[in-house]
Amino acid sequence: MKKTILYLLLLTCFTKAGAQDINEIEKITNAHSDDHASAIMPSAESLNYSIMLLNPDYRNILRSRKDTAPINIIKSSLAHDKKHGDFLHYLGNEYQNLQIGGSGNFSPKDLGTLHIHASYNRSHRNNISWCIVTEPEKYWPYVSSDSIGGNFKYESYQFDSDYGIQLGKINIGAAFNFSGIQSYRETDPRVLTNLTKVGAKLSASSINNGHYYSLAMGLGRDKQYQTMSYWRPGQQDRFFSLHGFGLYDTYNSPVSFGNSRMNYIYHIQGRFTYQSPIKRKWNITALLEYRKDMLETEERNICNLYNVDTHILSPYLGIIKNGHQTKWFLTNQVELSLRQGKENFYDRYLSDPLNNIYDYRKIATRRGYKYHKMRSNTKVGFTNSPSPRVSFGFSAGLLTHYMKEAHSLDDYMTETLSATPYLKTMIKYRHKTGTIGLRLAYGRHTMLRNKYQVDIHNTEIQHLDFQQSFGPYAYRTADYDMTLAAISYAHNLGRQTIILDIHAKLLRGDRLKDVAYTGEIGYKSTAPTITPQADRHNEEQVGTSLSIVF
Amino acid sequence: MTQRIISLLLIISSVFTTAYPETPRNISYTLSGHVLSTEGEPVSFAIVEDEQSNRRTVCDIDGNFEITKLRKGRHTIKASSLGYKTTRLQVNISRNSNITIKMSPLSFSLPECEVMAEKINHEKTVINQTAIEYTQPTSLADVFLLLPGSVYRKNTMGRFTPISVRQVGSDSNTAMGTAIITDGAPVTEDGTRTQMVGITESTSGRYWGDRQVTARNAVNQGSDTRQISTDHIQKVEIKHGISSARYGNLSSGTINIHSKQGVSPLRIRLKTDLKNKLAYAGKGFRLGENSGTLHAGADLLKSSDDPRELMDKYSRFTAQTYYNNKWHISSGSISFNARLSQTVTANKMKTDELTEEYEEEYQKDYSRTALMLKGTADFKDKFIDKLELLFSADYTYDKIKRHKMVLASSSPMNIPLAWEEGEHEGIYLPGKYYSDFKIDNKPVNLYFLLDAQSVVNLGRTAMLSFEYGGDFRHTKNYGNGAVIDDPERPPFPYNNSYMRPRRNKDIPAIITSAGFLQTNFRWTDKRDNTLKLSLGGRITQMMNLPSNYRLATHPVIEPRLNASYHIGKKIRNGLRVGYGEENKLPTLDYLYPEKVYKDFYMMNAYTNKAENRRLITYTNIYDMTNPSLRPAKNKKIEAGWDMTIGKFSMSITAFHEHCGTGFQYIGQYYPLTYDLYSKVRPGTDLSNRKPQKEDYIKEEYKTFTSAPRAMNSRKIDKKGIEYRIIFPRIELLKTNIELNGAYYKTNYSSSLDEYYYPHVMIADRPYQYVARYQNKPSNEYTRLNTNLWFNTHLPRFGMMFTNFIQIIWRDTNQYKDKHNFYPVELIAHDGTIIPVTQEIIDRIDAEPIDREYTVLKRQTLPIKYTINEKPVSLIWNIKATKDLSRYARLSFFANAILDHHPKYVSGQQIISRDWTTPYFGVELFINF
Repeated sequence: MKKTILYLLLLTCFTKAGAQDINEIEKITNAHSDDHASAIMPSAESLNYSIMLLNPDYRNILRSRKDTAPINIIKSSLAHDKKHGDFLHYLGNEYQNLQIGGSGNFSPKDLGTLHIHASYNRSHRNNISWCIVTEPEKYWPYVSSDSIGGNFKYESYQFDSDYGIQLGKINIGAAFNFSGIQSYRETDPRVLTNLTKVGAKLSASSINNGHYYSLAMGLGRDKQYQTMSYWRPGQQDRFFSLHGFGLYDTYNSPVSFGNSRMNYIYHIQGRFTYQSPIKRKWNITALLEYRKDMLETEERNICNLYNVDTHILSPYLGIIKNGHQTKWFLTNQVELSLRQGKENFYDRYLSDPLNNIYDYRKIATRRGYKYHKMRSNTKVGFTNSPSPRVSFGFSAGLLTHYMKEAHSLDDYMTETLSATPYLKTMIKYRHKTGTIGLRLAYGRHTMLRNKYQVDIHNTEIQHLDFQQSFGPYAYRTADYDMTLAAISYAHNLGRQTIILDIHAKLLRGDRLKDVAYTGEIGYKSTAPTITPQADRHNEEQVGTSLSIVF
Repeated sequence: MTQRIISLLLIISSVFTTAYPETPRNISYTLSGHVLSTEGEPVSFAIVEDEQSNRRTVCDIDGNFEITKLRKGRHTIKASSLGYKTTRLQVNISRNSNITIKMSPLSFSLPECEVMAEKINHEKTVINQTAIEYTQPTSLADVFLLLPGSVYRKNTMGRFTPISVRQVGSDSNTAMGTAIITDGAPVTEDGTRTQMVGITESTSGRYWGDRQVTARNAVNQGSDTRQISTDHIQKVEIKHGISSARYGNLSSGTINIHSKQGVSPLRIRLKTDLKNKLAYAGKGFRLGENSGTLHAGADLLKSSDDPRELMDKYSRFTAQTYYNNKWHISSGSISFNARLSQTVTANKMKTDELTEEYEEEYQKDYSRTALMLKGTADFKDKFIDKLELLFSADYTYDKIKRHKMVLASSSPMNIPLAWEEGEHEGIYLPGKYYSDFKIDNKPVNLYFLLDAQSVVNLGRTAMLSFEYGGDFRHTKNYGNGAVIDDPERPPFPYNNSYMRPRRNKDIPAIITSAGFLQTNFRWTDKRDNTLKLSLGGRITQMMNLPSNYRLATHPVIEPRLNASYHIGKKIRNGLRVGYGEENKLPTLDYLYPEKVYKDFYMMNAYTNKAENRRLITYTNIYDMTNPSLRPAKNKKIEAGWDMTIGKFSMSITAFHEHCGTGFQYIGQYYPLTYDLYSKVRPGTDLSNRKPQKEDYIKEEYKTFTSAPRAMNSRKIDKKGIEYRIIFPRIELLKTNIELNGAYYKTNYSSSLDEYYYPHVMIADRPYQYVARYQNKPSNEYTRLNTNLWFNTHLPRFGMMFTNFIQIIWRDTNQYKDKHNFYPVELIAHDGTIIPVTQEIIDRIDAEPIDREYTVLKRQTLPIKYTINEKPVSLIWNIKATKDLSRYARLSFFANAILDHHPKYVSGQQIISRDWTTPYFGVELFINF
């Protein structure tokens, strides 16, 4: 039983670490943000746990229920991913990632539970073009770019802590997280960005007859500084400040001639969580989360040229039926996003004639850009343990992804809707000195609807619609097969457990044949990008991790 | 002379050690005991100190110690040792006593943990091992953030950053005058020279300066704190006020470094942040029952200020071994310490042909090997209680290699090759070429110190102690100096004061000897009211200078005084005052400057045909030695108020420092006359032949030229108030709060009048006067800051968490002068001095302009006087350390995690905002 709890907690810690990887670091190292592997592979239990652990008070509740010993984990991992054919130019087509980190739970008697996680990560991504910022999707469409492109290196530091304590009938939790990423390109023009994310969260919960109710509030700030240096002859006119559908500005390009830009994203969030008594036959976890992101940019002349407001609503429902040997589950996770972009226009005026001081004032705002996104993942399945040593499981699910991007100027619009039905199976065998597990999944990504309506009227000016609009659209409009496999082995050494995990992903498919760019590509450059005509949509990914639990 | 002084000191010492009567036994007692760890193991070579009398001793290998001549009453005994928490014990002494001190291994699981500067001592800042480690430093410079008045800066290992003391900004005299003393031996850079135009600090040199060299190096700017690794340091004591008379050749206080010593487990430190990757391993061994201990450690640092710069990296390797042992003898004990340390740094830069348009290289290889030997004898029942003999020697290999591109701006460059004064043939240089040169320094420093201490108890309430002795320093550079591979390819041909450098090894050594006496009087009544009076004096003589040097015949005398009176028990107030003079002696670079060779074109006949070109130059040689050079004297006065109520403590120190004789290279003007052949005689045919002087009309050409001379002209005026407030621990939040900061007002100026020579031609002739101005320009800086430290210590979690908020309330700088835009006198070519009369001023202001005089008006635009004032800004830094187990500790820091910098209008009337980017890293300690 204790080993099961240990493994379960280990899974939650891993899932927590994994969730942090995906959310915070792997967005720059992962293939792209639509990565389905992260949605398909976790088990229902670990998904439930990872979602519940986002409430800072929950870990202490977990401890009080299980009365487990403190667990420390040191983990190192290595991953490699390569794409062939289509890829998202702003994320490149190859990445490699090395991470080392540790986490621990500390629960002195009557003092609650403190959880700490710290990690250090080095990675690189090759062939990034038309983007110089880290995590560009957060700033989309207001992305600084250059036509040169190249390989980026990343160095990331992450520190998370949460603390929970029971005060009477109320469980109080507080969390603090920090992550910092420095990215740079060593070829000219050389890029350096410094991205930091700071967040804090407070939660309060109560347990009434085993029913868990929690309310959590959080706020945070992302700050990204970007700068460039050392451009070669002929490169000076190739810096662009993009603002959607290939529209751009070069006069205010933040990277030209040594200028730089500061980007801020402020976010607030609130979430309500309910969980029914976990020892009952039916266990329900329901959650509703709302988050608002507000982007501001500041140029060197302190003008705030762009703003973005993003509203994200994330409901979740998980139902688990606990049986003697068999556990059934149904989970549904949805994320709805609405983004509205604003472009501000400034006028330079003489604010103090006596001292000849000029200032900038905002004279107009245009709300042209907008997108809607919807992601849904519904999964149903069971796990069965015919003997204490063996367990297996099977599940089926459906991932759907909808995205509509529009700009009021000239009625630009792109729209895609896709569905990915998938099957997954797992088997786990325990023996005296360890546990071995195997997971396999297969899914088929199919386009249900796609529409591209970006018709450039003013053809006298070169546009970047191919790079900023068609490229991501073409990447999404593909039919492909996806195979995922993972094997893990946990070896027990008394007070320590060593865990080795190997996972792989294989994608094989093609872009829809009618999705091709027929116009003239503006600002052709040597930077690698997708082809105008339909191409392959293949990808291979392999990763491994080694952990020590003590 | 040196031998005589040393002999005298030795004789006096031997007399004192043998002949003096005992201090009366009824008023002084001996405290003996042993220091054990909480596990019962002896703590070898722990330092045990009586805080009342500052008497300290070192335990033997078994942890036994003995302190003699302690007065009756209550004493605070402090024990400190590597890897252990500093322990204080209250002891009532009424007879000879024996105590046991138990020390706990350092851990954040302990109920108390000091991560700030110690709060006991208000006269100096003491930073112990825990606090040093908690700052997660890369070099010594990072530790200074704990000092009041310090402001957060990102560390930059690729650039030299001078030490800044009680000031806004920094200056070379303060940096050079800050003495870094390691285990009693000074670290000096006085023997390093870089006499090459474009690199050495000079008014003309800056313009043509080689930034690749000047940004990474510094001559005459003191020690490079980048090269001092904190991994070998157990404790740092920083004193910015009036130093003890024992310490000399300094003007801006002392930084005393105490190396790691004694027995310790194997410690591994791994650190990574955005710029630095550092690894350290160190262990202290017990060599045997009577063989003492040996502590050895090494660290390796790789640093890059900008990760994009592939070819601009800095690396540092340091290693240190420290041996100590102690023997008991019939009349006391003898301890022996030896330290051998090695620092190797490499700084390489290579520019890309496409990015910088030309390919250049810079490489600096630096190696410093230092040896320190120290013997200390503790005597019982003698007038001399302690006698210390210290010898240190260090050798530095410092070589810069430079591969520099030289490009012609417009006309073809030419260069004379003469080493003698007079007319010479010159050569024309190509429009573009590479120049290779090296700067080779190999300074060797020797230091001897003999220091004796005597304590006399005067009744039951008063004590008198003396510290006296002498030191001897020898600094000699054995390097080759600046060496240009090909004299026909000079690196700085634009500047006609291009030097013909000589070898460093040909320059005499700097030799100084000094004697000092420090008397400390302490009186304490029954209510623990304490009066402390410290009076010291130091006399220093430079011994190896040519007889015409002022310093050869004028010894430097430095009085130093500190006094304090503390009163009360529950509410304890203290007043401190101090006055002192500190003198930084000139360096080898200032004492023995190179001669300046001024080359002028008498005939410059350039044609497309190389065989028909002719260049004749006239070379003037100027000896820039300044025999009247004096030390940079810094006069310091300070007063402080300390108050302690329970665990609340407050300390305020007001100070005024004035240095009016700081070193500075100042351009000196010299009249010059030579024959010029620039106009071809009518009817002369110069085609297809080499021109001769006779082909030109001979003209007498009169002009002025300038060359830099080291002067005592730099003025630095520092005023300010430093404060430190420590609040009692808030138990509910498990948090200690400390508030510190300072108000600094710093003024940088020159004590000399300004000279100006307009480089204009009047009636086809160079300008005829050099003008002298009394405008007294200065730059004034002010800054008021508050650093708020919230140290949350959760011993049951084995965790320390710090919020450090830095607020800069005021930050200004302003250029000032006396608005005297007119010269006070004109110096003609023949040396005649012409006072500036109203008539001349009228001609300067004449309308229409009188070209001959208008150029003399040096009016400054009003905008230059504007105060550059920044609004209130705030930076929030965090750090956390967690003991993962007894074997591992994880630390994390993020500086400038949040900040507030409002927009403002700068003095140049530009709207601006100071952007700050966060800086972060993580560190892992492993103990075996």
